[in-house]
Amino acid sequence: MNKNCTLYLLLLLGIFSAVAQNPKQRSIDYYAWNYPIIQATSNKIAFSIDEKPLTISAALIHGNGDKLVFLKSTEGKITLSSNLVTFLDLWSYQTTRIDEADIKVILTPEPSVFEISADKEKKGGKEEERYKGQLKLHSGIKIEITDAQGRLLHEKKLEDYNTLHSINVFENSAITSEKKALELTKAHFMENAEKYMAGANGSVSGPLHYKLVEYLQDLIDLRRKKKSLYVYTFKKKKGFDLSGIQASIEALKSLSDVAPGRNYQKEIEALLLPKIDFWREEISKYDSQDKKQVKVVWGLLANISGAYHALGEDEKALEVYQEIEKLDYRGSYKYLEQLPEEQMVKRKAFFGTDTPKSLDEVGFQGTHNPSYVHYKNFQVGLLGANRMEVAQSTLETRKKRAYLLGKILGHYQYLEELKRLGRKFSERGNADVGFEETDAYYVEVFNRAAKESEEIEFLDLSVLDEDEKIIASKISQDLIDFYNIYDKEISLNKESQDDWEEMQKILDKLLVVLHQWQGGEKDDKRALYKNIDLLADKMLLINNETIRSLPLLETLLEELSSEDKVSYGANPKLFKQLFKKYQKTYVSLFVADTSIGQYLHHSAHQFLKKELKVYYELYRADEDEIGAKHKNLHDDQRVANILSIFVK
Amino acid sequence: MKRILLIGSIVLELALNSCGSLAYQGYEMSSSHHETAPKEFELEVKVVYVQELRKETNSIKVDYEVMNRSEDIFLSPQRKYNVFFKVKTKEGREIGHYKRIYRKIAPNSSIVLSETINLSVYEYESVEAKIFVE
Repeated sequence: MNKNCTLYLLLLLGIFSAVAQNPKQRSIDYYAWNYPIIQATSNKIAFSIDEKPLTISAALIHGNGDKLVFLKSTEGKITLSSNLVTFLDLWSYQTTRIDEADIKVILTPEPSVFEISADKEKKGGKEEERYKGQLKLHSGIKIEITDAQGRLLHEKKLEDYNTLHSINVFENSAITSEKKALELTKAHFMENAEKYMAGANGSVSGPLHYKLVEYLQDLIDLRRKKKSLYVYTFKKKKGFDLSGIQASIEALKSLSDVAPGRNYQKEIEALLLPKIDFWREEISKYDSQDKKQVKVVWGLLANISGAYHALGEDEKALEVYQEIEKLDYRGSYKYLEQLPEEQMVKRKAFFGTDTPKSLDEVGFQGTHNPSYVHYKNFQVGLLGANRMEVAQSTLETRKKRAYLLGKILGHYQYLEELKRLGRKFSERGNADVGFEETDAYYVEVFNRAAKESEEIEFLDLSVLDEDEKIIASKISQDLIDFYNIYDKEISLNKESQDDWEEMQKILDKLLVVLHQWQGGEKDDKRALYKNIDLLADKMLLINNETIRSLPLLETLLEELSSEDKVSYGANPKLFKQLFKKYQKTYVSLFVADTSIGQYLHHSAHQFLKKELKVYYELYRADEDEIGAKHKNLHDDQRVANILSIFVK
Repeated sequence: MKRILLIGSIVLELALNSCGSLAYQGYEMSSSHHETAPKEFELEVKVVYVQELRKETNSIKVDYEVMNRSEDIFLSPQRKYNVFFKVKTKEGREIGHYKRIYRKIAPNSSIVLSETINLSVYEYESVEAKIFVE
């Protein structure tokens, strides 16, 4: 037995060493020009995505081609994410608003079908029939390209079949009839129907998305695209030193590291031209008539031809191919001729002449804004779609209004939360003094927060309606007055520096006592809350507790992450309490059923991705590491950006 | 000084409020109880004089006249009557301010009141006043 094994091993080694004599193919990535089929006179492009409800069905496909639909839903929601434009990253077109574009790409998802079929399989020598039940999701998308006047320039349907499940065994044995295979697969589908049907909804992704991106780039964009350069290398060959050739191929690996840019052509010329000269020199050392040496000559010529093709010099690549054809080796490697020929045909069609012009390497890549993507027939009531089609001045006003509302709500909620926490700290308050015994650091934080809240008195009201102006002023003044009393109350335990401060304290004490005697705190608070609700009602399209807590989230983020605000070291207890509130607020805003996401169109989500990421990262942070890892995250405009989508 | 004024005004407010609530309670206890609509007053406000003050922050002292155009004396009404000031600044900003009217005003006569409005760092340009009722 052992002897046999050794024999096999030797035989295998022999095969490998024999193969090693042949040229070994390697592929190296580079970027070649893509000559588009459609050429527009202008470089302004827009994308429109149709979100009309689609049917999603499930059908049995019999071997004879009969199709039997057994489940149907007309509420399918298939769409495309607006970040398609970032994936496409067109070089020769600028993404614009749909009404400003000279070329429009209209994308309409096709109805999806879950197809259940049975494939006949033949295994082994036996004539036994075996069937494999397959569940595939058949999805598609229609592409229409029109000019500004709506004239159709191009139309195409892309399709994809995604195998979701297959069954080829039943009770430990093969399935021997088509009927059985179909039945079993259908039963599996029905068991998980809800999950599968839900999965068919949502954004186009995976292979179909990839096909779409590739197809559109090939069709319309003058750009460089990733291609493979095939080069050949050799291992040892008796009597020849091939290490130089091998090293030249190794060195070429850096070709794939060259990023497309203004100097791309020059950079790849600097890499490839010396190699072409070197390979040409090497060829002279070998005899192309020799049966063994011809392999080396073939490999080197193939390298030279491939390199010329990569440089875009396809005529030269074909000249070299003529030399290759004369060799008595690997006549079937036609790609060496086909690739340059295909590229020349595309180039000629693009330039309209045989002589290519030099092309500008840099275009609009990296500039595409997903917010320009137009959506039609989207679900009624969702906010934030097609926002770029709203006048810039309107967007600016909305943002200013959102900023103002955010400031008022932020201060209101933060002071409210601090006061709530104050009560917690003062559970062991000193009853004799009549005032709450409070934590010195907490008092410091509250004093500062109360002082900072005074900014709301000077907010610019010019972006508000007359009614709103009055309510906003009223809230600002009442809010400051309301928390001013509490601020004085908790500050009473502070040490006085001089007589003047002592006298002030006595006055404060009188004020606090009077206020407590009057006992209107609850009414004041209710009135304040009522006005805030009223203002939010007037200013927001959707007004609820969750959405109104967005400014608090930002205020807490500012307090927790800013170096000059609440510090973990100074009072871990207070810091932890505030962080807990931050996390709770985050959950209600973005995770729980109350999430504001339910009101937003997915393109608005895309637009807010960057803003929301900051909130998410702090949410996931460890409280004792915030000071070190999540410093100064506050952005004064973040709330305004998000809230502006909800503002009237 | 400002503080004492504040306390003074609060004491006054308390006194007025408690009187109002006592009167209301008395009314509640009456056997001939029936709903009446809160009495409406027709008030008008006019800015008389504005003085710019520059101390730590910019502010203005506004003298304004409140006129009672009704036939009844304006005294502890059930609804809250306020004056809303809209100050335009040279920066183009609008700053709001409100002041509740606590004073009594005889029918068809007026009183002149004064109010200081803090404008922070902004420069005064113009001011408008109007009555709003809560």
